Amino acid sequence: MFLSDYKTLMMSNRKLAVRAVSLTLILALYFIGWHYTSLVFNGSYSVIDVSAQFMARVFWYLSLSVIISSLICAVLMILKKRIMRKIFIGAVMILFSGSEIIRIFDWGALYFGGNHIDGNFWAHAFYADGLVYLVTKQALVLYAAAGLFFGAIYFILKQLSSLTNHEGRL
Amino acid sequence: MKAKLVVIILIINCTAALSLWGFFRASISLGEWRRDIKTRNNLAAQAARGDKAAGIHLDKGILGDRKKFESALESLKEKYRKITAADSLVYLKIPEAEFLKSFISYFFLLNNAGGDEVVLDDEIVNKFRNQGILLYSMDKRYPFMKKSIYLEPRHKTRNKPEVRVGTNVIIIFFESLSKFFLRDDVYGIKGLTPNIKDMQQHSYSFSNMYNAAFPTVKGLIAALGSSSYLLDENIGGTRIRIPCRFLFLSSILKSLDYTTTHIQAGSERFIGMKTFFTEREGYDNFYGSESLALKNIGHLAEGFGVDDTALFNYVVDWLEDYSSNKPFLLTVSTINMHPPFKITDRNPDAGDNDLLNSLYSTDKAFGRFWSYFKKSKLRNNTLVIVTADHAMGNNKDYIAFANKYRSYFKPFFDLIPCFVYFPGGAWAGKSNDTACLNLDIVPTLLDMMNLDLPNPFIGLPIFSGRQYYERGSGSIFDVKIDLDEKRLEGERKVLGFYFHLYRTDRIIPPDYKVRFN
Repeated sequence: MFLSDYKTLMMSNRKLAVRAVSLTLILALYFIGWHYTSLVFNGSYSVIDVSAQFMARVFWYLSLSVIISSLICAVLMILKKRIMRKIFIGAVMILFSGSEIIRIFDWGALYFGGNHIDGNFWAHAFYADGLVYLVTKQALVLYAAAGLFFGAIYFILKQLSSLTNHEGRL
Repeated sequence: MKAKLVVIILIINCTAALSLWGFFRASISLGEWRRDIKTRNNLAAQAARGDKAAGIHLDKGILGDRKKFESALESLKEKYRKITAADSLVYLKIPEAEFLKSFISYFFLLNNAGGDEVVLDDEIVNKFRNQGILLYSMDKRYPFMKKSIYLEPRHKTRNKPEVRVGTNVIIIFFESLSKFFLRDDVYGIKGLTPNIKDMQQHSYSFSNMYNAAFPTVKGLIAALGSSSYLLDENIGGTRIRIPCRFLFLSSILKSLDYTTTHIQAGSERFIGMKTFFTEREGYDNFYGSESLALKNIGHLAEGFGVDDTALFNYVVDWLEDYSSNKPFLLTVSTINMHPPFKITDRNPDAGDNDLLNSLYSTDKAFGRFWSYFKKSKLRNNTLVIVTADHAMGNNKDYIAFANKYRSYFKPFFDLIPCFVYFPGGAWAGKSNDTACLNLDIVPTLLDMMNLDLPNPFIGLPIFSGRQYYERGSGSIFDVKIDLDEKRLEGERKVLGFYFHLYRTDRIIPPDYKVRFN
């Protein structure tokens, strides 16, 4: 009886569950992909060389993605007013954009400078000649990847919003 | 109802995450398994060939065979380096955390780091003394000030090249020129640096010199002022000036009626270089890319400043136009080998490797100066020092290139060239293999000129004292974060000591005047 309740609820909210899982997987791909590509393109080491630490990082990001995705779903279910949901989605997207910008620059810093964003990066950051890195081929690929992730997350959030807005489903 | 749905979503999310984790785990295991098979096959193939040298199984046969032994040793070193090196983990750090840490430390912590004056205790002072750095010997307020360039006057020697006061001095700092780049016997691509090598043949070499600082501004302060500067990160962009004054070679030679000029391919504005050199360190003239670009608008390409061809053309023009009767100090700083690398000439053997082609371009540009110099009258009354501002940084091209020569891969701190052309080509082909740092350049030059004065130098004359104070390679101020509490406290103290000195401008007294002993 107890389990059948859950089963019925899940079946009637299949779409919501699929979107939530998609959000988890895209977030995980976004987080893990950064390190994976960083190792493949920047490092003199392969992923196998650092497999133990890499798997630990994967575990950490998967947990983070599950938490973020579930939290977003929960908040969207709780928020009733349309404007509040929009503000929430806006806030999530701002946070995600911030993370994307940081990751673009940090990936570039590792690629071109061999180190994460550090004091040396800041010393060059506001200097015109340093801006050449913003129009390199690698930078353009990073922008495209960031754009794709942004689009995907926004699309799923919009869908989650409309699905959780359906009173009938709850 | 909502709570139940959240639980369902959480469970489904966890299931999806676990599946993904399983996928990664399986992929990694598969990769490891394939690598093991490959390694086993390689070992079997080597065993079949009777060649055990590439493995780590050292037997008596290998010990008797020099080539096989060296190969086995190299293999062992490689394995050891992979186990001990932590740099692979840099790619697994969380970028957001790194960003926040650097942002906070750059804009907030470092600004306040030099708050209170730190007086070093005897234990640390003795540690410095053992490394050849004398503290608190003249003036407690200016701890680095000491009476002589020699820590022990009895170490002063006459067995050294000597330079007459009044000799012109040219010092050329090649950007990121680790000595490895001149080792074509190791990497096998000949003809990348014919002009630098020709200069080396006409010169005296300090064959065991390391850079003490990174990046360029710190490297120039180390080489021209025999000092460290740890606040570099805090002078970001053109906003904050270096708050203290060092005793540069320019100030010393100026007191001997030299004119002092610096020419560099990079910008005059970057980290306030022009202001620092002219207002603080007594340079008469400073020409950066802004000055050079007026003559070389076509050379303003991607990256920092103008290229080295424009730079050395400017240097030659400046030398040709120099009409004063006064001797001169000319310091020159190149740029081509700074990522993203400037390439004006390509060497067919270097292929599409930007790093090697920028090295070749730099050398070719230097050749314009060197061939002019060898034919000019200057060759008989000018001392030329060729060195690097610092070793190559850890950029992807360097990693890709040096990956094959692991034992030579030393980013940031490494051996750097130091070739000294003496007037008339005296001492050509001779060398000195004392372990030294570029901090020692100015004291050594003064020693060769038989000049001595009160100074705040960290370096020592190479001929007269350096051999008694071995420091090894790398930055002597390389502060590690992962230390035990006691050592961390000591490092903090030293860092605080330095920061306070810089912030309160206490390297040399404000009324310091050059007076020779």
